[in-house]
Amino acid sequence: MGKQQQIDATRTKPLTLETLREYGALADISPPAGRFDPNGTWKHTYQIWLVERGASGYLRLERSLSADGRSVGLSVEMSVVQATRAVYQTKVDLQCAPDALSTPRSWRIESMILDPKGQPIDVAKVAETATVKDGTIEVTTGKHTFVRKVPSVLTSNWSLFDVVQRLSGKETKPLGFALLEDLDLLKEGQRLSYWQTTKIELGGKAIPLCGYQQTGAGILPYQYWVDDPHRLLFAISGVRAYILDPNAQKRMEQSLKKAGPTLPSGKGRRKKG
Amino acid sequence: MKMSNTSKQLAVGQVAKPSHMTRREFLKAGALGGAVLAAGATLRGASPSAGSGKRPNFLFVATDQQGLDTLSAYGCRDVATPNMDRLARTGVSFMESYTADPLCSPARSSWFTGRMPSETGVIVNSRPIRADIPNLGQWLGQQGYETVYTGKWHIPGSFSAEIPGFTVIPTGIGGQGNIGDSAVSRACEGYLRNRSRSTPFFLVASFLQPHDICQWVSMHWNGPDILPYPDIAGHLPALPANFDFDRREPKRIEKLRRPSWSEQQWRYYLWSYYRHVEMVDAEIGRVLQALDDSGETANTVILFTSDHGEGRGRHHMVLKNYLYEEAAKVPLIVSWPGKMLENKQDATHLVSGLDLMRTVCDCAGAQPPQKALGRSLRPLLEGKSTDWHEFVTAEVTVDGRMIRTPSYKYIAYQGDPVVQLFDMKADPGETRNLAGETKLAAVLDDHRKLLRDWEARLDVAPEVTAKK
Repeated sequence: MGKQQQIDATRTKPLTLETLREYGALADISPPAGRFDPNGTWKHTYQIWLVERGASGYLRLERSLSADGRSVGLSVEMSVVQATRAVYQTKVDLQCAPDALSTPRSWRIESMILDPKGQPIDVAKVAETATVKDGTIEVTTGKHTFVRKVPSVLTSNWSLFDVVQRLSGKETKPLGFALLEDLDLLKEGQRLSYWQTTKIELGGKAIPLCGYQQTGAGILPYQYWVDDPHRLLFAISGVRAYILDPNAQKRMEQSLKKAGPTLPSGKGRRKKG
Repeated sequence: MKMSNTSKQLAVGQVAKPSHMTRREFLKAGALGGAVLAAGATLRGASPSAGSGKRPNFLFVATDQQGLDTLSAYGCRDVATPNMDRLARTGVSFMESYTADPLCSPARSSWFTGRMPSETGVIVNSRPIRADIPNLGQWLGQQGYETVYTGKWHIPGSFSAEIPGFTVIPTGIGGQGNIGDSAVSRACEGYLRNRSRSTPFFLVASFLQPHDICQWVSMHWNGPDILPYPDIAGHLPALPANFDFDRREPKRIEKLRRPSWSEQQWRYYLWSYYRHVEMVDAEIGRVLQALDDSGETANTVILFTSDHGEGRGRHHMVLKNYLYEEAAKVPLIVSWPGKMLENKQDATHLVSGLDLMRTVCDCAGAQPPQKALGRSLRPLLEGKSTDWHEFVTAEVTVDGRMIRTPSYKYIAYQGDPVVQLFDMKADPGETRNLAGETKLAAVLDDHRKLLRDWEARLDVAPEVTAKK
């Protein structure tokens, strides 16, 4: 409790690249190495860093291209540690159009809650497949199929991690779209635009960054920061940050192991209302 | 049905281990929750009795720190809440709805027991409910309901894998509703799709948002007067009409008034708050969609409320823990399509978080616990005429109390000479303290007496009496 209160007391500035460093989130982060082609295939792992808890999980995205170039594949795996040391896990195979918004066309999504011993809670599992067509999504879960209307200019939060790597810096024309967050929560009136440039030091190396801002309904503004080869290094929104970190999964697993299997009563948390 | 004292599998106060996690094990864990109650011989009050006919399911959707007038359905133009609006369209919205206490744990203890926080013993955050008072999970579990909890609990632990009377799907993250609420809604979605259809359920979807505004406020407390995102400049809400107000108020309230922001900073805070509300609206949409897909909507009573409100610049306030309307007034919608009124805004009846226990029991065909306060909302939900509360009350950390009658609101803090009286018809924003008006002396006395009489009826928890 004491340690947590100390953390809360010191994190009194909005999350930015500077405060991420100040809050210790970048201490073990190395500068990215190797070549990068945002239009090719790539695999990124991000640490999910939370103001209240520090490193709390990971998001892995892998981009692939179909042989005929007509489809972009995004494989997504996300794990977030809950207050009780349970883990919320999502796995997605997403097929997108090869367009500016990586518009989702079809997907399979599975989510589950793993108990503190790592076992899935069967009753909380969700598995869905979906196809987008003519302003509707046809969702199939188990034996049932449902049709939902969606706006035609659409993307997903995971697609945006791909999209921002293909923007043109200051030359970027603002993009307007509806967001299908986690592929089912519709958030309209989104706008993605160029924001500013800055530099950050990682591992003793100064890295120039180009920033984009996303605003819209149902989200706190996102800051996306890409390096010169257009690789997304950081995404920051409200009290949450995604930090490019190949070791994020290992960090989470080690942290869970160290903490032990369970924290049943939620004791030890802050006492704010 | 009598509560059994013969079950010896579990000691009093001992709770079932969390389930993991086949459906059979999950249900078994729920049954053990019932066994806990059976062994809990200290529980008092009438035993619940089963009603006749098919019993409805219950979906209890709770948000955290959401003031009443934060739905687009209620005319708020600064926010888009299509999913809460849907609940408003399909149910009854109570427009004079008050929390029992504008703080998380105390308010929640009242939802789940029908008792005031000074009775449950939960007068501040992170305290347990007094052992001899049953919660709704225990009570409905005894009625054969499958009682399932997701998200924030906070009585005492904020997030817990063990809650008496409930099988818990352990989801949510303290201070991080922005990401923890997704796990809550997904868990509910999974449960609604996978559950057995043979048993009625009482499912709690307890979201943390828009509570992340607490972090937002503390991180912007001393921030520079800069709007970091130019794209939002044209979208900042206006300051509230009661931003300025009558400063004759109890010292306890004055002490809570902290930020000295510029107008732009206040408006940026308001803009941010409404985005937090929209976040939780989307999560609620996921749960409602899953309920629809399960085919159970017509047989499910949906209750939607929040534990307390948020300052939003009214009276220059942020956050909660005081008795002005922005903190004390909360949304309350009850929906049961085809069985209750739809698209109705009830601006006449004063209601309270205390009323939930009796409402749920009434709809479930169960006797409520004997000492539960409040009234069943069911007659109002069905459009039947009925005598109703003359007043509602709320308390804050025991030493602050308010009483709201149809025309007036009286606020007093123990030991503070300054009391407040507001004419809620002429001055709903509480900008003019009338407590010193000679012509209202009788009104003031009446409200004092009502409050004293109410306090005398409470079965105050021993530890609270000791504190006082």
